Amino acid sequence: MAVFILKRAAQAVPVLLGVTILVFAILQLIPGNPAQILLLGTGATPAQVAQLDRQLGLDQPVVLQYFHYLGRLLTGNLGYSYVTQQTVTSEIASRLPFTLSLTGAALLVALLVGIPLGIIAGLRSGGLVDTLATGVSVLGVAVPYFWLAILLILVFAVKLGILPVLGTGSPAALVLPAVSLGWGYSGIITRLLRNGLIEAYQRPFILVTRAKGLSGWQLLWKHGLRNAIASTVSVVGLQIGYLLAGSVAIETIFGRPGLGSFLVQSIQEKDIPSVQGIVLVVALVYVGVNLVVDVLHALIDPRIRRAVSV
Amino acid sequence: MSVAVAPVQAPAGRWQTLRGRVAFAARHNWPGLLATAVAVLLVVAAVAAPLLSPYNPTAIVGPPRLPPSGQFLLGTDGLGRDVLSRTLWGARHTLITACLSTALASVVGVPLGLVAGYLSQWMSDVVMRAMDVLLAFPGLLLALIVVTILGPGVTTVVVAVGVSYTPIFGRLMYGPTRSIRTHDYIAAARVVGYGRLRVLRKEVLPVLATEVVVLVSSAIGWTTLLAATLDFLGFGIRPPAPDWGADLSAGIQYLRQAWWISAVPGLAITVTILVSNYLGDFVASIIDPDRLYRSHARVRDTAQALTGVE
Repeated sequence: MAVFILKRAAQAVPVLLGVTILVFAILQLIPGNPAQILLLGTGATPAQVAQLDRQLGLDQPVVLQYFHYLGRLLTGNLGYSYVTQQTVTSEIASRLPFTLSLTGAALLVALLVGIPLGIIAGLRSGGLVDTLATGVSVLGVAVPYFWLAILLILVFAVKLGILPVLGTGSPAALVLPAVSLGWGYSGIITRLLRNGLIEAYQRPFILVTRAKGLSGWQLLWKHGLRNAIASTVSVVGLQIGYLLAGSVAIETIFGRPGLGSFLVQSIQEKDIPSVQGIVLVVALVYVGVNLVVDVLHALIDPRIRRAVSV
Repeated sequence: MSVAVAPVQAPAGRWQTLRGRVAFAARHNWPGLLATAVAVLLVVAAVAAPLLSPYNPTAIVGPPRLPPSGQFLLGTDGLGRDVLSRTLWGARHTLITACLSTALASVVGVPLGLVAGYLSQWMSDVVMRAMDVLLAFPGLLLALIVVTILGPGVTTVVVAVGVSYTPIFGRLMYGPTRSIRTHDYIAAARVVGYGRLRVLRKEVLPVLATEVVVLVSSAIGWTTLLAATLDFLGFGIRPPAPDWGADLSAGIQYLRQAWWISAVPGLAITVTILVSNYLGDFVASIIDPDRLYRSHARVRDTAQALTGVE
């Protein structure tokens, strides 16, 4: 297992390096001189631009600049926001909890809805719950989460008035954002788990364990789910990335001061260091989560462990 | 399995002609047929928007926030413009954006996946690691990076959405190509003297044609959603031009008094995504009827096997 974790972590290193190169390249790829972009609208003279060039090391070769950038990253320095003049690290740190709580709550919604529906639909395929679950999952994928958010606000906040729309104080304020964001993913979990269970129950070993006299619940827990959940787990890892990205629109609608709304604001204000910082942090979280999920996958499914260890 | 299932007899004769296959698909895939009909309606709405819309989409034609009525079938928006006309014109903009960005993603992504899957290990490693780096940024984030670099605008949305789906297209083509590579007939073609690129074009691509078509027709839905999200966040078309994502966003402030301003464009986005999902399926069952037959047969087998064991 230790070998597996090490190998998997080693695979993440080139990806992470690539991520830093791409994030570094954002400033280089913007048409025009970076220093000029930074001083945009300040009416700076060419001499001032040249001075900032030197100050930021922008007159050096790009490769050298990249290594300087990488060196700063390793010390946790993401630069300064042009707008607030605070360090990007502190700006992100103050907003990260809002995004993480939203993403976590949305994942919880997806799992709490998706797992029971998936199990029932898988065990009784073709039944009423299965038909319903299939319908829900098709709609879940098709309905844009930001539109769902609006429909939920209409019903629960405007018509019924039982849940708050704005604010971050109470846990109740997290309900609507989390449901809007997580709902679509519950559909995917339902479908994967259902198909996984149906496939697992077709295998001969299920018949053997039944012949051995295992009860329905034990069968489901020990053999059915263990086989069915592997593919679900790896997809949940991928979905966390999409939940993080989806928080951009959801935070904008619900006025949550998280990373997503900060990103939108930074793009609008051309605050490039903040954009670079947020994008980098989200990609890091995403790569990290997928690493953890792959390890979990290997813990559940010994075949994965063996395939890599060989 | 204790349950003996009679082998499915494929009615091969009827599948020889395109007409026979369309008829077969239409009879056995009613959601696909329905989706095709709605897709035709959507395209008609987009093409004939100038003829169909009762009013000029950007003109103020009545009092603001008027509920749906005989005069304004879907009501008026926050400024007093006709929601129906804006939604029809919006279809035009959305479908063009979705088609162009899907084309971009397939023209770049599909060859990359094929080349990475078929050519040397070295090439494969380079291309796939680059794809992994891009995939470390969840779709919307990659699109927002492009927006940061190019600045908001209609062209930016097309490029951003296309770039976001390129690595996904590449990944999805890579796997099947990899498995086809080991088949004997590929080796045979090489022995006969086909060059690598010729094998790719003449032997590999035709086999994957169904995959590509399904991918492209489903991708219209995905790109619609991503483009709508960017427009929703305000990085796309400039007001007062009609757009589903932007109109949905503009209606949020009137949610309490005039739900239809946001609800109508949101419904349009949802319908487009739904249609696109089923359309891919339908096209696949015309190109490769056996596929539909197999999937039906598999569902039947599964159902029988399950009830047989119970």
